[in-house]
Amino acid sequence: MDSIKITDLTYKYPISDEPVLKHINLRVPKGELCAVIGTNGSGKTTLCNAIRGFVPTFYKGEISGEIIVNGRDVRKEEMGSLALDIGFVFQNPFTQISGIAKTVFEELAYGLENMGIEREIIIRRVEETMRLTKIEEFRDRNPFQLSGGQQQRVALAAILVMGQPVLVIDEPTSQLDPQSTDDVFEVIKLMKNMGKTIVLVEHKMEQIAEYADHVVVLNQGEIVMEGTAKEVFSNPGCKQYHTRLPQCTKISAELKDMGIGIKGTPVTVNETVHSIRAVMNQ
Amino acid sequence: MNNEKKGIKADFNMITILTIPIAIAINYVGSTLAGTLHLPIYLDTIGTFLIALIAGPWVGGLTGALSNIMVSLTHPIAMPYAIVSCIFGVTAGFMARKAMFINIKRFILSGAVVVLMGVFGTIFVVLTFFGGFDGSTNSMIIAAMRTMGVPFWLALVIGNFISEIPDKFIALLISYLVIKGMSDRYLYKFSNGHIFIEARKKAKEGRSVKKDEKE
Amino acid sequence: MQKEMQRNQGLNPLTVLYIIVALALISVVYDYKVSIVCVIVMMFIAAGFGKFKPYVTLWLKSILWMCALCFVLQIFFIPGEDIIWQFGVFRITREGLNQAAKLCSRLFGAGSAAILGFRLIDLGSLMVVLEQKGVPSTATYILMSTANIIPQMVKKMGVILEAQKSRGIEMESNMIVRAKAFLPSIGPLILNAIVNAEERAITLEARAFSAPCKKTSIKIIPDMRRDRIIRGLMTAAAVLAIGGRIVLWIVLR
Repeated sequence: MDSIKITDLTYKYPISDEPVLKHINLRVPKGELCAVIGTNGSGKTTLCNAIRGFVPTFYKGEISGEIIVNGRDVRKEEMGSLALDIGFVFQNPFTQISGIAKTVFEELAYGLENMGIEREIIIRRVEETMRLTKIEEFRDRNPFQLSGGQQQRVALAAILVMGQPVLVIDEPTSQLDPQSTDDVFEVIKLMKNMGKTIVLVEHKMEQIAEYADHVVVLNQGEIVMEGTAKEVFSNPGCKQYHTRLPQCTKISAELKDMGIGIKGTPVTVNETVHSIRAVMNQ
Repeated sequence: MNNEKKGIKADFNMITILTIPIAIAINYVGSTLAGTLHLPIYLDTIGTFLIALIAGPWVGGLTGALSNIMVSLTHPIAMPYAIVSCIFGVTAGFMARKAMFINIKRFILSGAVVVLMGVFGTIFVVLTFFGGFDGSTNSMIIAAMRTMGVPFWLALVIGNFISEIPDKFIALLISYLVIKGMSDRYLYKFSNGHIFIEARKKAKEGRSVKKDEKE
Repeated sequence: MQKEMQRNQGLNPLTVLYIIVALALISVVYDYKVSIVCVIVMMFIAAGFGKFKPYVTLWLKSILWMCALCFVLQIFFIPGEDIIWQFGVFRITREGLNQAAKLCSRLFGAGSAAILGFRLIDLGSLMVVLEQKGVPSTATYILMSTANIIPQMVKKMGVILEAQKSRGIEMESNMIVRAKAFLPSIGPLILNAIVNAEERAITLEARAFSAPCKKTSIKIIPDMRRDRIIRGLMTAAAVLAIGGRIVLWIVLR
């Protein structure tokens, strides 16, 4: 079953002349992680906003096409009620604090309070989520006083605790250091293992190669390539749309250029190690 | 569609609600900074004016009143002046809604209206609640004028104009400059935003027409 | 265990608010003698909550000082005919004295009540109670968020001021220099805060702020029989005080 089904989506911001999204068609089956990549300004964030229904309700502008998430027509739903189906996390850790919680515990509870969940269940769910996402140590800290990386983990946990089946995560690590990036991806991995359907916008290709079931390349508002990470990264056309490939893919390409016979195009660390071992054993 | 909702409810959309606390904080920080820099003016209405200009009179009035209520938790003397702050927000919001803040000429006229309303409001509050003297620098000036033999009412009016004119014009100017720094996309989300956006467009067109004429 | 904790938590914040508003109202409608009694009662209440020292410290700094200053200015400069005392241009008139006593007594009562409320009521708990009583969550959000944002912005302002100083803008230099420092200090702060509001709006939507659900709270704020009785008494006291005042006013006329 498709958790997300987008048909012929075109959208234009109120003041711009050109549409930012042009005839987008996209399906994400239940439980899959779909990574969206592309250069800045290619429409990735707008696509996220469209899936969550912030476009056009919040940003206004003109929209056409259809977006179905979890069987619900996003364009016909109220922006508020979609919060129950779709979780949303974005780049800036500092603005993803509710602004009214005194502790991380309250911050996580806030979404559930808004959903009208019973107190005892909230406490149980918050405890469990804090344990799973390993943020128990921040429990009583003021969310404003955490570092960016810690805040981003809290933001992810605050969404995870709400239990929506579909999660939209827009460049969660672009403002973080490498250690925090790894921490954040630990949480994303956890989300995936819990069976969530995830749309992830990300620039870190290594992580995409590792976790994504499906990769979509956006360019100037259009989907120009899609497939598995392997299909996309091994396609020579890929380079024209975004500058970077996973480090491993680059290394094996360079080895190939040097005349070392590596088979295929490895995209993850494990695959690369395997391929190189295979060559060395010969 | 629901984009086109009108009335007070449309004024209080999500982004506006979230900007109200920020505007109150701007008022607070502005007055603290003016105090730290030992400036002879209050500058405690920048946030009120800013939000009144972009989100209209009701949001502006509420922000003004709430600002004073917040301050009065530690400085209770500010409480009655919530009325005046409310007047500032409402007046500035109304003038902005009538597109009276889009060029310098109109700006000065609107500023004068805001100051006038503010002086009326202040005199009303200071008389009703403080008999004319609330212990501020301004009431020292009025007291000084009284010792020089200036009649009570005249001293009150002059004293308040002296303190309000520079303060409110500067506060309005700062909020106007901040709005100039905002993007169209951002302004568009507030109920008065389109007024400033259209003014910008016209100014741009005007400039290009002039250029054409020269050529 | 939990029940015991609740018992020791004391009064519901709404009850405290009722007490404070009632005291403020009573001291505003009657003269200075009643105000003084009300303020003494407030001192006792503060002591009862174990907040006597912080309350009195704040009270001395703000209320007492403010009222004294206003009183002096008012008795000397409110116009009147019946002169009681004169020294050069300074004169005290009976009208001025009466007016000053009346106004300062109100300021004294209401001001003392306001700062007592500030000391005794936890805003977060009060908001939870108000929300349960049907106050819209947007209203409580605005108040809570304001209380959280102000210290954040003051902190950022401090950082910016330090940077300004290190760039050679002296707080002690002449006024033009100081005035020129104002806009570059506050401008970026304002723009940044405002732009953040857009993202915070998205955060709140993501956290189901406007979801069509009846909200709950993890905070338990006990509202016991005692609270309801006190609130009833306070309402009655305020109504009686205002009613009595109106009767007195009619009789005296």
